[in-house]
Amino acid sequence: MEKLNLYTYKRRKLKWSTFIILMIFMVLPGLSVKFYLEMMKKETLENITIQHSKVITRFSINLTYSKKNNLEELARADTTLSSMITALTGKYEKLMTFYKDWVNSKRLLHVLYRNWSNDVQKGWLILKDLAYDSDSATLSIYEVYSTKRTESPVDKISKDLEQFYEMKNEVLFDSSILMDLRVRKVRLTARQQER
Amino acid sequence: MFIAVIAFLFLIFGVDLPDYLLFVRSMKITKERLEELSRNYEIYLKKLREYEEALDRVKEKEKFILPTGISVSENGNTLNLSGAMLGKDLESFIRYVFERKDVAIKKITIINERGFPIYIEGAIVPTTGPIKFTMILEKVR
Repeated sequence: MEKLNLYTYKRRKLKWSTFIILMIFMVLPGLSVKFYLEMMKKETLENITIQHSKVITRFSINLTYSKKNNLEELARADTTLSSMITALTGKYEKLMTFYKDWVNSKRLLHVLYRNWSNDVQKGWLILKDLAYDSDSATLSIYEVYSTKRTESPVDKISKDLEQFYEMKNEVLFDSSILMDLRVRKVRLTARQQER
Repeated sequence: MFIAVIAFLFLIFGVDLPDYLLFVRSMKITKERLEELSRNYEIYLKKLREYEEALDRVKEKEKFILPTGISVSENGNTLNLSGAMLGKDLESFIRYVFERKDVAIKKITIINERGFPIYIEGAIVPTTGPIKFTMILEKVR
């Protein structure tokens, strides 16, 4: 026999268990979408981390979901990279200065070594003094030379240095010693050409 | 049922979706900045490699040895040398410096006070004596 409630002003009553089940069904779709979106966020972040793992590891960047935090981390990495670039530029400039000094000194010494002579017939040289820095050089040389030769070693040195320097030659004295042999003292002033 | 739909719509369109869209936008900016950082870092690495290669080219395996009996003061990479040597020794020392790739000569002063040719019985000979010199050398490091 079925139990009937025929009371006119009856109120529907919800059981706790039904209420809880309904609540779960109400919230579940929202939560599942939220969970899905969270997974998407995590995957996006992981993809970015893998894609840029080199810089992320190098600069110890800690990426999170927060835009503010990420921008702060990237700004820190930018600052670190800038200081690394500044340090490298400084080192590079030092190396270039070294290289410039190296080339300049090699040029001068190379010309001197190539044309130096201890042969009276070719022209005999004695270095009296030398003052060299990276911009200029002044040399005083005694030269015993033969008047039969058209070009003495000092002339050759001066001519070779003209490729790199503005040259000024001064003969300080020149006198005869024996037949065609003469002795002279020459001052060569070399100044770096402006390029 | 109506409340369930409203709750669902509120969670999706009111909370999750705006949050996700903000995240996507923020990640786009982060990604752009990371790409820029990666590009700059690659350029930095390329320049660093170039610098290291240039440095390797000017490095010598053998240690730079200075002659004995001269005064030496070292200031970082710079060496200040001064003293007096016989012509042959000084020439061979300058030649030694000249042949090294890791040492640049910044300054040399040579004063050969007794150096001039003299004529003795038909022969020309140079006078000999110690030659004073000062040198500023720069070593690469």
